[in-house]
Amino acid sequence: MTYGRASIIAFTTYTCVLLAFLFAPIAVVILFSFDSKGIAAFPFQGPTLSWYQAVIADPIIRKAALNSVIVAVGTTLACILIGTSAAFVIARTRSPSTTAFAGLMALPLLLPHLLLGIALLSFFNSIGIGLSLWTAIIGHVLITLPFLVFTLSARIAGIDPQLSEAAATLGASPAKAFATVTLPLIRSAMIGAALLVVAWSLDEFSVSFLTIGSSNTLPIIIWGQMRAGVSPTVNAISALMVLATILLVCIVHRLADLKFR
Amino acid sequence: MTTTSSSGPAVAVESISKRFGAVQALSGVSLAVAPGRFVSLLGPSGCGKTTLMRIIAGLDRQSEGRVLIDSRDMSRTAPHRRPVGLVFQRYALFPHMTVAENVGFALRLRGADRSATQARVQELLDLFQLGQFGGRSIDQLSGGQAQRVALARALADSPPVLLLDEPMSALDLKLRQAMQLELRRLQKQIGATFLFVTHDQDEAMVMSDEIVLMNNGEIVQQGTPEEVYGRPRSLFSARFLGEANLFSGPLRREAGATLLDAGSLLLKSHAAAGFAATRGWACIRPEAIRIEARSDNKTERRPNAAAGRVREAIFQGAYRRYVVELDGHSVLVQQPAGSDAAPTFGEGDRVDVSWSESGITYIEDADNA
Repeated sequence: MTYGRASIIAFTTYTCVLLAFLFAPIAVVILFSFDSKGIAAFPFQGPTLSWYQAVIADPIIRKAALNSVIVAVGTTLACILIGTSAAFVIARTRSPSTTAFAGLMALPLLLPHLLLGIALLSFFNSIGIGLSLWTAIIGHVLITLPFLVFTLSARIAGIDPQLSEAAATLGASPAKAFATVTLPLIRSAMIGAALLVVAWSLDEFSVSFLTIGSSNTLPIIIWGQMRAGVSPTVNAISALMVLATILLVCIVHRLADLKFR
Repeated sequence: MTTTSSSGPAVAVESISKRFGAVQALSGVSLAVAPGRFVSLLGPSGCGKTTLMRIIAGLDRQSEGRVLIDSRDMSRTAPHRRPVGLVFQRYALFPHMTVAENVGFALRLRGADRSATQARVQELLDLFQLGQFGGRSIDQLSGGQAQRVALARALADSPPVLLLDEPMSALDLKLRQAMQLELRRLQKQIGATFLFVTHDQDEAMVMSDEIVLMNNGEIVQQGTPEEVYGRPRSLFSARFLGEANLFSGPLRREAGATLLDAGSLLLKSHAAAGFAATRGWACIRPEAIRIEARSDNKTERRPNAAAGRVREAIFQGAYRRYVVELDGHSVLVQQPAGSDAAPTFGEGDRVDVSWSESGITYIEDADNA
């Protein structure tokens, strides 16, 4: 089937408008992070890296960035530890209780995060746990676990369970069979899912804000500074976070393209 | 070369039962397999043969009973500690490893040194005509090659017992027939005990020293292919292995002979002295029936012979088969084709059929399978 000239032009225009709609705001933020003027408004006044220097030099922002990384890494490790076994259960067993379990695992995807954050806040208060990075990690795990569990279980469901049995009949203990056969086969899916969790955790605001107590993460800093207007520093932080996210997404894509070896 | 430490059976199961929820997959199965034998577990799908094999490998745990391998009780031993190899029906090759890595898997696990592993892998690849495929990834293999890789992988660490779960079922007929002979030669060459699960009676007869026929979670009959085919002990055996002409009726004894009265037919054999039932079945294999042109017009009943008319005549290359309509019965007759001496018949020809006493096997009526 071939398309006429008019429909090609229409389709191309539509695509450009859609992409502009999606990415123009981000492009503006990045653009103004290099503008020396100091307020986010046209016309563009001249390139500078001073906002980036300010961001990097600011101890509060550096602390918040470190917190963001700590929470993201902690969340990801906890998700892998908890989520891998859950993914196996969902992929390998067929029973009403498994279906119910999978449904419960998916629930945090559907609940508003603000509501989850408030629920966690009152929960931690009522059982007397002080808010800290730890409670923020717990909150993030609650929300990101489904990403990891369902990405992994989809991969595990595609692996012949007889491979583990074959490894066993060839002399592999369950731990050895997991290390030599199962893990290599799910590794790329696991890394992909983990990077999604990292990206999501770095961006998360409402649950972080409600469960982290007096500490800050980057999104909380941005939100705080935004109350005083859109500053060029906020643009610089945002640009850096966009860059980090793009890098993560590129890695995920690269891994998804790889065959499982 | 594999050796066993004692002269007992290589594999023995004692009173094995297995339930999956409400389903009784195996009930009280006992079996002993002598070292170096090629034994087939034969039966229709769902008869429990694969479950029995999985229990021997340790992949499923029996509900009751014991598993002995090389006379050691391994009823509760984990699969990776049992000295048995297994070739899976769908091969279960590791997709993230090359052919050579698959074959060397067991050796690497055991910590065998690199050069010894490489040498053994190459030896196996050569044995299975996979010499130049070592570096290939397994999705570049044909079905027959994948099957040989699976065999080589299972044999790499020289297990004294190899279990094979219908490994030929994915191959086409020609390749399957070639592999049957190749596998049998291989088994004799390495001297290991092979326990081969199949639902294909021809395959079982071609390859086995011994056939263990299973049905409904039980062993129905066990013996050499000749015994199980030639002397079926139940209607199930008679029907599952090959084709059978079956006649039922009351039995009586007369001067050392056992006679079965099947209406217009009378079957008589002196070779069934131990058979005491008063009703039963007689089984006659199609190739045990002679067919001749009608010689006279006598109609009285004679033992082990009858007059009839050819209803269907089928030429099958190596055989001619006839369906002969008798008075109240029909029989299937099979004769070797190509011999000039044997007369051929067409549909509608009037013929006499007969059989010798040794062609008759009596079967008790208890089995209504």
